[in-house]
Amino acid sequence: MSATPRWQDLDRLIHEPARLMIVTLLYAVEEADFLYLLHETGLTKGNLSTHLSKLEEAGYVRITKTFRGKIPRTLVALTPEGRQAFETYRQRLSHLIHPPIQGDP
Amino acid sequence: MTSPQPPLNEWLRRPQRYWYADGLTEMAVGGIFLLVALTNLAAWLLPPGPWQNLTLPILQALVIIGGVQGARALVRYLKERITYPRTGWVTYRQPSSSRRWLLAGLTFILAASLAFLMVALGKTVGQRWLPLVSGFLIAFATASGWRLRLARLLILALYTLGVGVGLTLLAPPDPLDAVLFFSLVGLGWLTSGGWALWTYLRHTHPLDEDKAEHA
Repeated sequence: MSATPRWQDLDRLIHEPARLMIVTLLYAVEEADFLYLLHETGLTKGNLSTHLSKLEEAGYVRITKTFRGKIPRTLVALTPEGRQAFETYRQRLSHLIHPPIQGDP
Repeated sequence: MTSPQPPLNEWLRRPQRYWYADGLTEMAVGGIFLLVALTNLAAWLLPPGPWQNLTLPILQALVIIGGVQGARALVRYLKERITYPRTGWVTYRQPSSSRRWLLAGLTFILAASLAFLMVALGKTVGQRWLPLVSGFLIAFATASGWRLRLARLLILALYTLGVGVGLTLLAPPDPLDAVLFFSLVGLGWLTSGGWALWTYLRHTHPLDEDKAEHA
């Protein structure tokens, strides 16, 4: 990571507002199901599904399909790469919004 | 290039706040307070003796630890039945096994120390001030839940403090003061949790099998 991050250095995949919300919610938990993410994000099923697929393709989330009785349950968890990507994103964003004063180590 | 700051901290708080959305945890805590009230009553029924002062703190520490473990299992069971089918399932990040034992040990020490402190305070500053001290300690711990931005925890903290002040002013005899204090605080938590559950049930519906998600 360069000393002074720029806006274009932010992970574009995470920076998209809906995906950022999904990743942030998942960062705070071990695992969540599709219904929880649907409820918390307010996205439509189709939109949420599309965003999760993009995050899965990037290796940021792991999606597991199981059953709860007869009801299908889709479990989503952040992978270690996803956690690292979120931490880096958060750190860079913080530097961009509150840049360190020149002369600071 | 500028961009509005995303509310990351608010989003990070949401899963923690979700745990309290249904009020089940508050009801469980209320139940534990009622159990503590019962231990005070039970200790009073014991024949008087020097070991009576020792029995109460140990009994209370055991009731608190047992109550916390039992309540945790009960809350999880009820969440599986009530909450998760409505608004989704979440597992929280768990501490490691060694850290869990450390936390259990610290909880026991803290619970026993607090109980001994209460007995010691009762002998030094006078039994009359115990509801105020207990009310302050519990209100302080409850108000720390404000980090989740849950207004009803602040209301509960004020209520608990109010119960402590009220009982200190009324000064009922020992052990009625402790029995009344923990009963009233427990009922407050049960009411708050019950109201939260009622509101939650009114605004959510269980997932229909036909409308189950297919991500």
